[in-house]
Amino acid sequence: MAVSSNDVLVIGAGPAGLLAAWVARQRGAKVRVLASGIGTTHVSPGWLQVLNAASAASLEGWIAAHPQHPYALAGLAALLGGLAALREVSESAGVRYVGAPGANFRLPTALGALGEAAVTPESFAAGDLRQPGAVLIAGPTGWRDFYPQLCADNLARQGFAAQSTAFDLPEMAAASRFDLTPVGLARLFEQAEARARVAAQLKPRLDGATRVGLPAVLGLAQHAEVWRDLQDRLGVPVFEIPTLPPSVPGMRLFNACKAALARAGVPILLGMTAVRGETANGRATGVVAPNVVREATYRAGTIILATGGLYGGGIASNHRGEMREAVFDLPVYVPGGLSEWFNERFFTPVPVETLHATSLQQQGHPIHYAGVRANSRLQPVDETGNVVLENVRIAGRLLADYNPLQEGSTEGVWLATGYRAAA
Amino acid sequence: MKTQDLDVLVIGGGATGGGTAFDLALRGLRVALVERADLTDGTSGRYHGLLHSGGRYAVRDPESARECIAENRLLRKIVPHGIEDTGGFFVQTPDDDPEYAEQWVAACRECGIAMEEISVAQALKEEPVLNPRLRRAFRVPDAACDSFDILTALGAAIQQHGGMVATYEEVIGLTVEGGKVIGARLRHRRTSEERFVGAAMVVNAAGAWAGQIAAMAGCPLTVRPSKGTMVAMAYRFVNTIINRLHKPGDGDILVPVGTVAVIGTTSVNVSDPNDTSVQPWEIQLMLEEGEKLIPGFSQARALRAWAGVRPLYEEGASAEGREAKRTFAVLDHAARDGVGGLVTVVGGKFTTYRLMAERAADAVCAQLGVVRPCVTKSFVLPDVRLPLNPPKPHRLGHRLEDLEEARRQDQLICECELVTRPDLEAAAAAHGDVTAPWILDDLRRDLRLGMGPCQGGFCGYRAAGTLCVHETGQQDAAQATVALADFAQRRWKGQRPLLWGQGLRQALLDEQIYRGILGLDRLAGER
Repeated sequence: MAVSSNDVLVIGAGPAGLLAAWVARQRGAKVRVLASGIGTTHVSPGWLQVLNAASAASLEGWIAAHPQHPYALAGLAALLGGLAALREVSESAGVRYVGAPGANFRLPTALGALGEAAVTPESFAAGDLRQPGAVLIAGPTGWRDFYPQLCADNLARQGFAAQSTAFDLPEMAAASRFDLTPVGLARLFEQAEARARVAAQLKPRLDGATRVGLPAVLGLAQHAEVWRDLQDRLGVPVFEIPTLPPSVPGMRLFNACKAALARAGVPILLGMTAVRGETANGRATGVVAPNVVREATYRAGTIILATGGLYGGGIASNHRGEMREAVFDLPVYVPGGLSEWFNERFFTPVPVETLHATSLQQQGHPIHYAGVRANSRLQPVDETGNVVLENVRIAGRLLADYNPLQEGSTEGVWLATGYRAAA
Repeated sequence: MKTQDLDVLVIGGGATGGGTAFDLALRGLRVALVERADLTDGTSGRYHGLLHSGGRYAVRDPESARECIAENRLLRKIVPHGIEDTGGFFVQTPDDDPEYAEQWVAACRECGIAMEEISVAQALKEEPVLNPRLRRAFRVPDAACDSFDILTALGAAIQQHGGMVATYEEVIGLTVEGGKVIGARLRHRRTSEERFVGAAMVVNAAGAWAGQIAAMAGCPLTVRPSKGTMVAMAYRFVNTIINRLHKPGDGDILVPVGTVAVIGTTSVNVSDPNDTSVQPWEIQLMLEEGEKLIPGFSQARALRAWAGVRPLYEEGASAEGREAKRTFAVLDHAARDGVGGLVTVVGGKFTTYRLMAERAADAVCAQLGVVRPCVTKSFVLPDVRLPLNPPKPHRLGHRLEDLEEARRQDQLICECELVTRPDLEAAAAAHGDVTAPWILDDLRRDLRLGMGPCQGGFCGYRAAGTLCVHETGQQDAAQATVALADFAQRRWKGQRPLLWGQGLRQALLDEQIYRGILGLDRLAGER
């Protein structure tokens, strides 16, 4: 098969890879996506964090102070471009995002802590605790993945007007003998009768609450309708609160991307693990992935590597403290020896106001800074900064030198580097 | 605790202390057991779970070996639900000295340990993952033993027989009057409240901490704490306990426990019995030694590492570590140090806890002038979880059977270890102090909550939430949040030395859940 230099092969079906595939296709490339499986959408809260509050006001200034950070490599324009592209893709599937970098929503977590996000699904927005108004937190009685009491009481403890209640959903028992997952519950909410039963129980208990928070299970394919219908029935805004994985809001985003790519003629080959790359003269010539009968080689002019980090499988680690990039064996920045990867404390409780008062480097577990280093075109580079493979681009969590949990930059890096890698 | 009419105060909520308090309660004495943390928090809850056949000690320490095989036979009868009859193999690998085998065979015969040689082919047929290059294999009556279940049963039995069990109370001093210990001063770990408990006799069963307790009465006692590190692998690998047939050394025992397998141990002399740190070299050594028993072992996922501290003691001897005997001693401090009212029981093995308890109780009774025989040899401990059923031997799969037979229409809170919401609620209700910050770790010992592959990533939030449901729970949100943070950190301690490969991926997912989704770090800061 003739390979055009305009062909793009994306490895990885996480958010960075899917976005890169979309953007590359929009720019006229012939694109294929090859992936082991689905990515981190399914364990994400659903909102889009760009940067935690203390730094978010001056994104430019923060980027200038962190020249190795993926944001600095990709550039602010790529972040905004990625966000616009994501909105376009998701809105075509009825999933709308609101907000913009520069100011953060304060959204309740399932534990009743405050999550910060610059951009959020529209169905989360009424939970913004910067806005006044008492909240009623509600969930199905006896469901193991959401505890309204714990959420509301923790919010109340922080000074927010919050009450909780539980509603009965008899269909739950029939839907699953032991375990009802968030996905199973989301499908239940797609039944109008179930919603009517929920609303009938909640409406008399509003007791002055001006908004109602529910676990983020308000429908999957028919989410927009489920959400609108519940608000109509209750007569107050309804918002979703992310809870334990699998993430229904993340799945909506994944499904939206998948549908948009399908419409654009981009095949997504799932279940195909890229086991090694082929290279010649400083260029990648292809990627080898075994299928059921044999190994197949996939060739392209540009290869976008969005295989994820240590969690996603883009980097493997072993008990000798070695790390290996899974496809091309690219140089990986490893933060010290095995015993230095993680701190003795699982997390250091930090009051929100002081986050990022000092340099971010080496806050949190050092392991998060591990990854492949890249230049401003997101080409992989070695220790001396020389490009390793000229036609390879790195996107998403595979990149080194950032700590998404500490910075609140998880989704922002997906957007900025997914967009930049396709540019 | 009503204290003025206590006959005996037993210090130490491990197997020895629990067994001693139970033995004395059965003899009709008014007893109280006091423990500075939860039952089994010391060495009893930090061992590999092997009910010794005695084979390990037959060559060098025949007295321990004889005690082990005798108690092994007894415990199978009196606490069946805490024991899984896995049987055991002693296998000779190409790395082991072949001469040791004949010596070992003779010693086992001498000690009365029922041992039979089987063909390597037969051993491999029963346990196909074992090293195919094994040279010899012997079958012995080892078993796997759940110290949490056994101590839970002992604690309940003590109370059923009129005794008291006080956990999270630390002994801060012994009161000596007229050359006799008359009681102890206790401090509650959470409330910091202090009180005095008087008793006609005090038993020091504090294990590795026994020297510190004896010193409170002015009695010199040198316990040699020997730290052993163990690693739980995320797979069971075998259904039989595997021992290396060589001079006892590091990482030469593999015990299938529930859904995991535990390899152990190291032997490091430490000065502080609280030192349960795990060193990287110990992990590497366990994996390398495991590789000799099971090829590919070091590539498998390691789940947790922890260390326990053996309370080695030999009156007047100075041997340390593996050279020291595993026998125990009962010390009457009146005869030994001129301090009345105090008996120390120290040394030994989990396997011999009942015998140690019997001897300690005999010494107490002798001093009190009580003539009542020990009856623990024939007293079958009820299974606390199924008190109405006759106890039956534990077997992997029981939990699943219970779930399926009972057709319980309820959600699994902990999917790895099959803990349901009713299990959790019942166990929480049984705890006196459910608002304690360490409650989830206590429930872990009761239920194995959070001990499987996800190490609490999913069940931690569910358990904290369940304890905070208005109608049935007993905690407020602040307490539940602190308990969740405490649980996350305790689970972290055992995972951190093993984070690479799949385990590392799991840890990153757990951090994503706790921080990225729940924002626990932002609430725990208010503590």
